[in-house]
Amino acid sequence: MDKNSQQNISDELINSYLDHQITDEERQDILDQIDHDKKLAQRVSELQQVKQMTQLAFDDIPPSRYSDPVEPEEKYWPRIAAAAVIFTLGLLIGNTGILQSDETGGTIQISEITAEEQVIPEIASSKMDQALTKVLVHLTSSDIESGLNTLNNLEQLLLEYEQNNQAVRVEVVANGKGIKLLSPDMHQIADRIASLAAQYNNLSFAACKNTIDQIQLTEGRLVDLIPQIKLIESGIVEVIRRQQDGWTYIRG
Amino acid sequence: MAGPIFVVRIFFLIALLNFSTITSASSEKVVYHLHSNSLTLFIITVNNLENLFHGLNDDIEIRLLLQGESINLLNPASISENLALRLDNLIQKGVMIETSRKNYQENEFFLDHKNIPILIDNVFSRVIELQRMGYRYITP
Repeated sequence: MDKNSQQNISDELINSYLDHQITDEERQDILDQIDHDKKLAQRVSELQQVKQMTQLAFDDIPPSRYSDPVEPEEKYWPRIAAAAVIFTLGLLIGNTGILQSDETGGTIQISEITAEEQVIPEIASSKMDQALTKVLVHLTSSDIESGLNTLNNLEQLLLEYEQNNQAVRVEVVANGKGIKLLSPDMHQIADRIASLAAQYNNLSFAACKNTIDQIQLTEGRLVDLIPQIKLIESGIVEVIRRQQDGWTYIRG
Repeated sequence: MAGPIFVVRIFFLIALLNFSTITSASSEKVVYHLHSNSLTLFIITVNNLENLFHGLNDDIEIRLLLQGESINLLNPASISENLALRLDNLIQKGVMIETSRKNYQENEFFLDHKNIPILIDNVFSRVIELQRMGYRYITP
């Protein structure tokens, strides 16, 4: 009987009993078992004591330090003066730092993540997000030379970031006449896109579905795209959203 | 070990440098990205740049980035004399023209050597860099 009770009644159930979070039937059942089982009665008693001690510990929390009364007035002004001096020096030093950064090309380096940021993932992730350069390249022209030149620039950009160990994410969005460049018939462009997409997983290509639907409607022909292209509902909405999210816009 | 007077002098110097930098900077900065070889676009570009200077009372810093074949803007054979004069005038006003080193080397033989552009590694990287530095991006 004792063994069965020990197995049937877990600490969790006893805690629920002590917190009055069980039904009357369950409560009656536990009480019956406690009457017949001394070990169980002892366990209940021990858990009750732990619960009471925990409550006492929390009752003893000192009042928040933010609610401390204001310090005497004679200590107030020297602190303000010191804060003003530190603030002014901070502005001078900080401003110089920003200017230096601009003169060297404004490149934002990935700074080390502090211990505080390791504890608070939101801060670290926000800093990582700032360190990631996000670029949207907008293709609106069907000119092949221009398209190839854009892909050349794109490749150099990706290579440069890779060599400098800097994080970059590039999305190429085509709409209007730019859709024509993403057709399998444009062999030179298609080959370059296939090669770049295979080489860089931080590069993606998207085509505007509105434009494709429009071509089908007005010209009566189906638009064929190379396999690396994903369809997005609206190219222009993508361009706006990405810029709102801090992406750098470049017309390709 | 630097004395307190030395430290104060350094801070004073920093303050002076900051002040002179702030007072000499234009209030508006623009990166104008030209990426097509088209006379119409060249004319639109020159019009736009003139209008920017006029609209902002010359209080503007402009960097004109020439990508690919748009470097023909600097080819005297590609543009009219009048457009070339207007471009010269813009350069006199402070427009800085930039193009990639590779693009310049490939087209160097037919360019107007009066206006040698600033040579950069890559136009896209430069566009990103300038936007980070507070330049507004305009493209025709």
